[in-house]
This record gives sequence, C-alpha cells and structure tokens, in this order.
Amino acid sequence: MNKPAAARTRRTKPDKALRDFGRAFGGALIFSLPMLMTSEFWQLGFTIDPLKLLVFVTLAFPVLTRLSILIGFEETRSWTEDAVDAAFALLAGALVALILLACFGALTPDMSAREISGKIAIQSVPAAIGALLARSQLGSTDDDSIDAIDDKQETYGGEMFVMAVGALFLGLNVAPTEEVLLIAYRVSPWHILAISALSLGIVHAFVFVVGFKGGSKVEPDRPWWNAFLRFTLPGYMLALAVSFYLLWTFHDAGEVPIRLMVFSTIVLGLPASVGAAAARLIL
Amino acid sequence: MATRKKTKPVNREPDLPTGAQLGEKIEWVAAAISAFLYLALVVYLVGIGLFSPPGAPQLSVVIGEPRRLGGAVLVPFDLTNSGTATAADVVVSASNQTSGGGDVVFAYVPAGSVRRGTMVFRGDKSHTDFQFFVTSFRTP
Repeated sequence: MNKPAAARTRRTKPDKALRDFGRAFGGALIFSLPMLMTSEFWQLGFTIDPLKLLVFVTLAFPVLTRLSILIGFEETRSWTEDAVDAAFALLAGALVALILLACFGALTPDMSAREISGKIAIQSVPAAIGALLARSQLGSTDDDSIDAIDDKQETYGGEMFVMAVGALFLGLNVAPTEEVLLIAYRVSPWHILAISALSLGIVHAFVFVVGFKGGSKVEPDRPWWNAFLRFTLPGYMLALAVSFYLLWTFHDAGEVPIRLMVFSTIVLGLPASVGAAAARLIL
Repeated sequence: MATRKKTKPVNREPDLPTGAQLGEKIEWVAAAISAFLYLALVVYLVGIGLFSPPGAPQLSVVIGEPRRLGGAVLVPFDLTNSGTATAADVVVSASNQTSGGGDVVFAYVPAGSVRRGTMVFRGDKSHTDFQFFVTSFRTP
C-alpha cells in the first residue's frame, strides 16, 4: 500500500466530515465573496418578491443535487445521498452568508426577520454552488473521489447542464447590479447584435479554438459549423435563458417593455456565456 | 463532431449503436431549435434597428385617487414614457396651494414603460388642487 493510500485508510469519519465541511466552507467563501460585498444583493433581501425568492431557492435544490452527482463532496451511491450533499452545501452557503454579512454590518439585530432571511437566502445559492465546486477545484490530488469525477462519462445533457450552471454562477455575480439595465438603456440594436455575436464567438473560441485545458477540438473530417450548431449555439441559448430567468428574478424582466427585456437579456448573456464556456472547460 | 481532449473519442463510424444515433438526433434537434430562436432574435434586432430610429423620451404624469393616512394625504401617480428613448434621473414635482410641494426622482424610465410614485401632502383630502409635472430628466 502506498503512503497516500495508507493515509486515506487512517482517515476517520469525523476527520472526513470536518474536511468536507472545511472544503465546503472554503468554496462557498471564495466563490460568493464578490456577491457578499455587493450592496445590490443586500437590498434584494427586502426588495425581492417573496414568491420569486421562494422559486429561486426551491429551484436551486435540484440543480445542486444534479451538480453534486457530477462534482459533489464525495462519491455517492444514490441520488438521496446527493440530495443530502446539496442540503449540506446550502447550509454551508447560508452559514458563510450569515457570518460575512454580519461582519460587514449588513445584518443587524434591529432588522426584520424577512430582511435577514431574504439576505441570507439569496446569498446561500451562489455560495452553495461554490461549496460544491470546492471538491472538484480545491480537492487534493491524492483524493480518490477526484479521480472518480474525471472518469465519469460525458453526455450531451450533462455538458449542457454544466454550461447552464456556469452561466448561472457568473450571471448571478452581475444580474442584480444596475449596470446591466444601464447598458441596455444606453445602447442601440446594433450594439446588442455586436454583443450577441461577441458572446457566441467567445463561447466557441473558448471551447473549440484557443486550446484551453479541458477544451475540445473540431474533428478534421467535419466542418467548423457542425460543432458550432450542435454545441456552441445551444450553449449560448441556454445562457440567454438563464440570463432571462435571473433578470425576471431580480429586475422584474417580465414587466418591462419587450425591447428592454431582449436588450438586457443579451447584455447579461455576455458574462453568462463566459461562465458557460468556462464551466464547460473547468468542470 | 467535437470530442474533448481528456476523454476517449466517441465512435462516429457508420455502424453507430442505437444510443449514439439517438444522442446525435437529440443534438441536431437542440441545434435546430437554437438556430431558429437565434435567427428570430437577429431578425427582431435588425427590424427595430432599421424601422425604429432613436428618438426622445415623452413623459407624462397621471394622478391617481388621493387617500388619507393619519394627518397626511397620499397622492399616487403614474409616470409614463411614451417616447422611444429612456429618460434618466426624471424629477417629478408636485405642489398644492395649502401644503406646499415636493419632488420624486426616478432613476430610469425606459421607453414604453410606466413608473409609479406617491407624493405625501399635509392637510386633508378636500384640497384637491394638486399640480404634478416633470421638472427635468437626462439621457442615461
């Protein structure tokens, strides 16, 4: 038995639980810190429609469960274990949000229960994604479970799901800010067309052209547009769908004129596309 | 076909197994739906780019039904932008002969949208001589 394997054998259950919690806490902290320090997120705690907040947190659970199946804290045997891990990630995310927001003075005892719970609930979702990402991105190289992630067979649906999570994560960083709408207010349809073309170009280049680690290459016997149509375009439309959902949640996108709705969705679609492409490469 | 560098290349030879054929069909269905939606988006953007030239905001205020709350009268109003451009920092001023006036500032009023506000006056509902008007705005 080699040395790392022996070390793994000696690792007790409490040690493992402590290690998993430490990773989850660290991942939540790293990935959610920019959002925890953004005042628009604090305001959303009491301005967001409670029903939308409920939808946001409820939808997060199956997404986190699926993400746990792909890259969770540990190698699991059933989806119920992944559901438990998703709940654990949400708990870690909520704890990070509670501690950090309290440290920043964004949570005080004189606030209403709705404001406090709203602020923590919004932050707990991106933090929980970070907690789950911690395993694949921050896990040590002598960890058996990391190898298991690499060995999992890719599927088209799985790739699209990972792209959607990437779009959700990076889109979440930007969606509540006023700048998304400000850009949409200022620009012409031609600017929006350019942003859309740029977003598509970035997704395709990141995944297929520039040769990033984890990227793909177009097979020489097939034209470039084959991969573009089957992977890049659906990935981009998925990023736009995620962007629209985020704008609906944070800015009432369904209640603004259609022109502004389209413009702001495509504007937010740029960071969401970058997130989708990056997730496709990293995860 | 695209394959990832880290994984084993997928067999795409003519004798594809049924599962792979189904997978490829799903990929092409997703491609067709995405292409249709994207083309619709491009047609829409080109259409408004060609046929909806930039204009100016056109702002108007409509006063709602006043209601009494404690020693004050709350007067709701709708601010409508029926123009073709967004107005920023829109100041709506209101006055009343008996209880003075005040301002409400709206950060943005996009073209074709309505924003709602409320002005608070001292006094009672019998004084209905409220005057509401847009004082200023700027381009975003």
